[in-house]
Amino acid sequence: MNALQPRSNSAPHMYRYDAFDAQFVRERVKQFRSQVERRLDGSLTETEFKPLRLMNGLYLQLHAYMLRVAIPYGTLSAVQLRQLAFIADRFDKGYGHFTTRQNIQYNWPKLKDVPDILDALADVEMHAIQTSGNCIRNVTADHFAGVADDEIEDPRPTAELLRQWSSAHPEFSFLPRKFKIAVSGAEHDRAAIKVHDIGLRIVKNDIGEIGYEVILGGGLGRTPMIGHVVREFLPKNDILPYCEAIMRVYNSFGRRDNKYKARVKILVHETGLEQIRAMVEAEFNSLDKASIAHDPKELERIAAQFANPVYDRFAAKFNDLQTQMDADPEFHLFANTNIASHKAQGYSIITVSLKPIGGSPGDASAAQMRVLSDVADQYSHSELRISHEQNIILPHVRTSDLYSVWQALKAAGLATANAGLITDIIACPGMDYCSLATARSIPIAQAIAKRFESAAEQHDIGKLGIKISGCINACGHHHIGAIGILGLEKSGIESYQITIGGDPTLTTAIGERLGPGFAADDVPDAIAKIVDVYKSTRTDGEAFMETYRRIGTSPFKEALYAAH
Amino acid sequence: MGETGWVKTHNKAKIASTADEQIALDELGAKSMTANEVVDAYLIDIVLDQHNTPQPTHYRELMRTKGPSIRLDLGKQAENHT
Repeated sequence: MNALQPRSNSAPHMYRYDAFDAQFVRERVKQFRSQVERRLDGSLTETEFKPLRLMNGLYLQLHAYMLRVAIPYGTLSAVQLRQLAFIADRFDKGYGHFTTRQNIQYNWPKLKDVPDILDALADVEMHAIQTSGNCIRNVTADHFAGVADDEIEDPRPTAELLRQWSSAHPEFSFLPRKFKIAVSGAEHDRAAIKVHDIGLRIVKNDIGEIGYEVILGGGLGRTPMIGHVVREFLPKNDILPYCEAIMRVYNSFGRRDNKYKARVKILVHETGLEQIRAMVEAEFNSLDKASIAHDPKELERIAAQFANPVYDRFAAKFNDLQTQMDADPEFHLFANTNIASHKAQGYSIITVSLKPIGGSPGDASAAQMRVLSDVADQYSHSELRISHEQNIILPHVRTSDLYSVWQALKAAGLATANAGLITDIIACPGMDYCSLATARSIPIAQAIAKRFESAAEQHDIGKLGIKISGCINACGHHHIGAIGILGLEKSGIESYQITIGGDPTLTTAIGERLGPGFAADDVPDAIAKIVDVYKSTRTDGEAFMETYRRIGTSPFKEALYAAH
Repeated sequence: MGETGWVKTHNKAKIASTADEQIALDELGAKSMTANEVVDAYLIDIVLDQHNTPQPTHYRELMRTKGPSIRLDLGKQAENHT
């Protein structure tokens, strides 16, 4: 990638730390450095150190420590990604894993190096604070934020406001359980807002005012639940007081007697929606709102930093994309799947798949991160996004540059043409890394991808999301996969339950289990049988989920279990 | 845990064959945790292979002795990876 040089005017359009942010993060690193020193000299036991390290995103996994770094609302600059690559090379094993919550995880850091890693992150305005523990976690958002052609308003200023409000919030640092917030500002939901503790959907009311639809009590894990609308329209200025009211109700009444019943979804379920709504509204009305609400000027200041770059007005004159596609079948396939329409004429959004056939979903090498940084500098105003689907987005690409970008990506092994297809599989790290896992996820994803390696077959099948989790905690979002796979242990061996019909969008649905689990080696065949039912039953142009909704689970069950 | 304390590989792990030996090994683990030699210690089921080396029977613990099954260049198995 030596040929690519950054553009001189390619400053990213995203939130920059002010002096307070920078000082806050540096002080936290300094504090943790001292804690690590005391752990290493034996002054702190693991029992004493554990809550301290978890507050800084440091887990202890199956083979080593794991550091989870937040990528707030999935927005990343080229400089930041280059620094993530540096950290991967300097302090880890030359790669990182992008997660379903818009974080990056390093799987092999040494404890003595973690303070230096955190300082390196602070150098580029990043941190690992609140990526673990019973607090408000990294606020996630639509990965097409700011550029989607169906957008009402960019959700990132709201997400940033929530990040500032929730960071080290003294009242909400020891909640009954972890708490996840997602924000969407578009007509289509690409942030899975209905399966978050709070989902915020930016909407317009009857008189054209912009506010929020507030969804509460969604979540996956061992008890998957779809969130409920608690407020159909919340004025923008009330966002922090209303969230504060929700958190106070949850903090007061959420169960602390049973870890497995401690999420807010259980509180909503056990209390009842109407009662919870009344409790939240009562708390909201009792609050001194003025002392909690944001200064509208502060939100304006934040929003201004997310203003889109000045687009090239001549870009719209490019009309040769179809010609380029016709001339290069491989590019044609890529363009069909990995390019989305942009709200600015003459521009496109590229999804860079981190799901090469046979690869580990969500993993990127340091070298690939550097290529993506260079490509972003050259072609995407130095900006990238991380999607909860574990892919990387180039949000501001001139349509006339698509072919050049594709060639650069292809040279780096980053041009897999499968976004949204059957091999674009979401998978958690599973037992290959995770101490909580009951089975492996990555080898299952790899085997399925190899089974459907043929580009022609993938494109014939069309949109079909497979999501795999290696335990009941559902980090791989299996409940909301069109096909979901859950890895469990059964009598000392790995066993995989298959669900069907899950949906992560606004028509959210939890998948239905088809029957007993399969051995690891049998999973690709089982998926092939499900696909065969779809292909033999679909009507013209009917997508997998449409066929499923029309015919139900019975034909799929029969295909999988009739001979048993 | 080895005969007297923490060892880096499972090959040299101390084996407890009776209930009393298990209690003693558990106590050794607890002592090593208190002394900050290990982060966590627990008993696992093993079988002896043809070289009389203990091998975990459960796939999770077997994975811990090696490394990720999808990256043979990482973890303890990396030493033998070419």
